[in-house]
Amino acid sequence: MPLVDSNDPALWVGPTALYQQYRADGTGPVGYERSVKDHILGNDHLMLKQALGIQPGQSIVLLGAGFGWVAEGWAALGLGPIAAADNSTFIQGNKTGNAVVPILNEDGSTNASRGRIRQALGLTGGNLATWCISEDVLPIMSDAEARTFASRMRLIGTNVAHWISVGARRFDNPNVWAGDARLNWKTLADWKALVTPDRVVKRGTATVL
Amino acid sequence: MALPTTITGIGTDVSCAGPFKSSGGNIYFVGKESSGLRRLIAMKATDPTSSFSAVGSDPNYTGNIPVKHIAAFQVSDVIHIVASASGGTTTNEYRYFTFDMSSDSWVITNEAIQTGLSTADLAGTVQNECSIVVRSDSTVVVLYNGARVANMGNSYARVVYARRASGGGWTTNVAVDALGTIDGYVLGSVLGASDRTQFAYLYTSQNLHTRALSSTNVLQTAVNSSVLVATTTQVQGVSFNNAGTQKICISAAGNNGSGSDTIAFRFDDANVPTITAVTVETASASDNIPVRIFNDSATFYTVFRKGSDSDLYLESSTDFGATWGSQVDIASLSVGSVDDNALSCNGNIFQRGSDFVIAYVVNDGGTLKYNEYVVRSVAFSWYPMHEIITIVKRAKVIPVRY
Repeated sequence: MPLVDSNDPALWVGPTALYQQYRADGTGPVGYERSVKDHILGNDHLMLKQALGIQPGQSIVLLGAGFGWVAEGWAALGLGPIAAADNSTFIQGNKTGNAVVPILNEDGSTNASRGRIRQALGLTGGNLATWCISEDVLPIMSDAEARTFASRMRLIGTNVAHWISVGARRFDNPNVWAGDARLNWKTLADWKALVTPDRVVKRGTATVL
Repeated sequence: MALPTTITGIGTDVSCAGPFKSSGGNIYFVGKESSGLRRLIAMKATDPTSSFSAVGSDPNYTGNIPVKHIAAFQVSDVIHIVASASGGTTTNEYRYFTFDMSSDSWVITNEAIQTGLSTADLAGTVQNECSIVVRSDSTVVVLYNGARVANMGNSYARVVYARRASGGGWTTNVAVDALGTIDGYVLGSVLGASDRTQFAYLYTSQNLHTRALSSTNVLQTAVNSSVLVATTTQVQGVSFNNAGTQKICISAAGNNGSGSDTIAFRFDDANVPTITAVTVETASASDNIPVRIFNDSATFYTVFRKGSDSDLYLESSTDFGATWGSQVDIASLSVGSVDDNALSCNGNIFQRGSDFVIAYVVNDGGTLKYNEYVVRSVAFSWYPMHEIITIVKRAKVIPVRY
């Protein structure tokens, strides 16, 4: 089991959610919803594209895509084809009004799931997507789960990258991570060591290892 | 008595706001009390070379939590003040005050802008910075660290603004920074032309950014100065109308090439200005915080600490910050290293007696002092020859008998 249950609505909205944002008019806080899409993304997805050097025409799979806002932003830039997938029941149950691109109910954990993802991109035979990128999926997993997840991603894309919200140590105690204690926190270097040879990309700075 | 004048009863952990000169010629500044940490205190001197004393009924900060930052903006005899306070991670707040120098009284006290905020950044450090400007229509604009946001379990500090209608009532928590997964830190704000407000802020280990707010409350595109500034500083700005072009200069400590520079960010006020960062002084392995800037009729003065002797130094510019003159040691002091609270902020240059002075309140080795630096004296008025002849012609000659 992952460290947190991504099917649990409380992980997405409410006082214990991983996301608490304010709308443009200052009202809130609200959780993971479209009204705060730009606040949650900022320019991070643009920096990710730049950091990985993703080019138009390359096929892209995004796992843990949530409501597909990265896919939406990249499609608007002319990238793709893109397949966005997220098997969270919260995401699948709240797509209306929050997602404008299709969100496949897949996690890539089985051959059948991976086949459906590739099919969504129009890939035939054993062809892989150019990119398979996870969106902040690793921090909700144990190390063992993350390794397994990464290995399955390599069966989907030729190039595998993990986009990760890397935490910081508390200013008053360097032995403690400042972020939500439910998640798996590591330095970017430690993530790299865990999922080598995949690329790991730090959200916010787009540092790539 | 001679300057500097020792101040008692005011804390040194928060920089004072001012000094300001009233229409009655008295000198004021606002600080927080040295013990208890809760009250704001307005200090007044009729003769600042003699002594300062508290005036008005000092307002106790609502909630009785420690004051963390004070910023002020003078409009005639009224000092508009925003003060932040923090009782911990989730009890951060911002309140608005006004002090009337004509009556020596606090008029508005503890008016809540936002309360009950968690303002922690990624590392959990609570942020309490704020700044204030007052527009010509009496609306008040406050830039501050708003409620933090959570993004995938991390906390990020935010830069937001609030606006007070001329009749009262606040619009709060309007996002200024770009958000995403990065901390935003408040630096300061300056009033430009036509009631445009220029906000200055930065992101973690990144450059000073500005973003303009129009008089109709439309936020413009942010501008990246491409020069890194220190998060530990508050910035002060000056704004001067030069024949229709509003010249703005913001001072800060940062890295403009040498690693530790006193920097003037200069630009012509616009919705999306072009910012030029000019190195005023290179600190050369010694810190230069605090840094402040002042304006005297189109001559800009940057005041900064030098680590080599802990004194305050000054450099001037007569071309709106494009070039700066030689440094002058303006006072022998012991200003603490990287202590941005050691020097008052938001003050300006005013005439006192026959001199125009930069007035400041400084923490000199643990003792708070009021001091001045004379930038010029009042010019002697020479009468043109034709006026002298006219005066002589009009003079009534009284015969003198011997």
